[in-house]
Formats: sequence, C-alpha cells, structure tokens
Amino acid sequence: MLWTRATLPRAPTLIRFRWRYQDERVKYAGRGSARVAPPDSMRFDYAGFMNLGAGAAVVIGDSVAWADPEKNFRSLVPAIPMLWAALAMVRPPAADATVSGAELTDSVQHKRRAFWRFAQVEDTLDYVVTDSAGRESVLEAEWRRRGAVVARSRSQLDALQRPASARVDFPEAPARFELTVGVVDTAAVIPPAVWRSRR
Amino acid sequence: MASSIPRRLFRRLSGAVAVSATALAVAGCPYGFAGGTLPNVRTVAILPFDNDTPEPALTQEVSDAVRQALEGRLGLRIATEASADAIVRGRVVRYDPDIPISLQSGAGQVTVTKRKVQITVDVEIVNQRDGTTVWKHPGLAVDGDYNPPNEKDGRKIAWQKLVQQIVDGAQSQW
Repeated sequence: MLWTRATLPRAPTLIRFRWRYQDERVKYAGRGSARVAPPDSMRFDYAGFMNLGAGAAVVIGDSVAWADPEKNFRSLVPAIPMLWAALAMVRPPAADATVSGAELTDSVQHKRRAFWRFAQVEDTLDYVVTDSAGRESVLEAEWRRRGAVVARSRSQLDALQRPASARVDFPEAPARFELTVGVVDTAAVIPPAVWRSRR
Repeated sequence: MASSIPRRLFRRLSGAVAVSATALAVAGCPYGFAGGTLPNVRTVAILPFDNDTPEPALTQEVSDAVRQALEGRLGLRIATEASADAIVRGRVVRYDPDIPISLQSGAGQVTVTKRKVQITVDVEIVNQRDGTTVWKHPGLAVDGDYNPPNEKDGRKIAWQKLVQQIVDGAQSQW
C-alpha cells in the first residue's frame, strides 16, 4: 500500500508531545516522546506530572516488543494501531486483510477525502484522510472488533503533513488519550540502545 | 537602669541581639542563596530528560536528582515551564549497570564481589527570559558502587554525585 508508506517519515524522527489521559477513575497528564525509525519501529517514552511515573516501550509494527512498566503502558496505550494513527502514521494492512478504498474531491472547497478499509476476520480498521490542499489536514481512524468500536482517533496535521494534535477515544472504557505535539525533529539520531530491553 | 545590669547578663543580651539581627537579615532576603548560584534565576522547570538507555526508570530518577540539587540544595523554586525563569533539560546518554570493580578468584571461576553503575547525562539550564544557556555540562558521568545484585544502591550513590556536580557547577557561575 503506497498510501500507508507515504504517511510514514522518511528518516528517523523524534516527536515531542504533551499528553493527557482520562477515564472514569483517573486523570493523568505529562510529556512524552516518540522516536520513529521507519518503516515500523517506535520507542515511546512518557512521564507524568513532575516527571513521575516515567516509562517506555518499543513498538514494532502492531506489536509491543517490550514495555516497562508494562501495565502502565497498556493502560495508556491500549490500541497500538491507534497510537500510530494518533501520530498521523498508518500501518500497512495485514497480509490477510481485504483492502478497499475510495476518494472524493470537492473542487469548490478544495478538499480531498480518501477512505480506506482494512478488514480482517475479527478486526476492521477504517481510515479517512481529509486533505485541504495542505492546510488543516485530518487523519481519522476507527478500529472495530467483531462489530464493536474499540477506538476512534482524530489526528490534526500541520502544513507539512506532520502530526500537530490528536485525540483517541475508547468508547467501551470509556477513556480518552490526547496529545499535542510540540516538536518534530526529522533529523533525529536514535541510539541503538533505545531498542533493547533490560528485562 | 543599664548600669545596674550585671556584666554577664549584658553580655548575654548583646549576644542574643546580634544573633537575632543576623537571623532577621537572612530571613529578610527571600532568595538568600539563589543570587549566588545562577544569575537571575529563582524559579526553574525540569523537563523530562530524553532517555537513550534501555532503563526507563532513569527518566524519573534523573529528574528527582536534578530537583534535589536545584530545590533542596540551591534553594530555587520549581515552577511550570510557562512561568519559570529557567528550564532544565537534558538527556540520559548512557547507562552501564554492571561494571566489575572487585573480583575474587575461586576454583575454576571468578566471582565479582563488587560492581558499579555508570550513568552519563547531558544537562543544560537555559534562562527563558533571554534564551541564554546559564549552565551546560554535556557528558557528565557519575558512578556508584554496589554489592551485586543491589544495582539500585549503586544508582542512589551515582545520583547523589550528580546532585553534587550540579550544585558545584551552579555555584561556579557565581
């Protein structure tokens, strides 16, 4: 899928952001960073208020290579495809997925909307990209499992098609994860040690 | 009448007045030591350090150490990034958790009886008002011995050394 590849950074990229998480019991906020080594690897670091509760994880594709502490990361990021989507990146469909898509162009408002569906036996991922001639582009994603919505994300892109802000909702919990990007460094150097696990 | 106050009591009273005056002078200056540490910096915000190591706990531990140095030792106040005079940022560059420093040879094997951790960090304090770097120390390496397997004991010693290095570095700006 060429389209999904186009959403990924071409070079190692560092994204710094502020985040907020809220469910029925707790509210947390803090800062984090995602170091993305294309095409499929991400080191995700987060810390709460006053840098308490810091943790990290390495995500390869749609799976978690390691997370420490594991429980905190799973609470914060229960859906890996949504994490990629929140950072305005789309993982290619699984090999056994049925892929369908469509595109609409509004020549009056200069808007282009592309729809993509990656359907597997249990999971369906829908993506909608609204491209307003390079301004206020939005990537929306929805993940359904056996028909029920697991998560929805809406990611706002900047003029350079980089992530600016995102919101991920988990209707079943219910819970919400929001992030606001502060810095995107497209010339980041990612040291090899960040991928290793100590456990 | 002053002349009727015995000499010993007068001496005691004089001493008490002198001590009180000194205490008042110190208390009257709200940031007594801050002016002698980092120029024009009274409040700081500590941003999460980048962590280039496989040990996520270092992010919080380095932040605690920096806070101890700035707040506990240098008397600066911790504030939000938006309101702070200065921000502290940095990176945990390297973490070597088990460098052997003491060996005991036995029959056909060698036992490591003491190890040390070594942590290398980049630290930078930037004055937000004028954008200048107040203090910067790239590649600051600290270490701490421990008896295996108590690696955390070694880290505690290393962080105390970092606190001291930051305090010394900040005071050298005076």
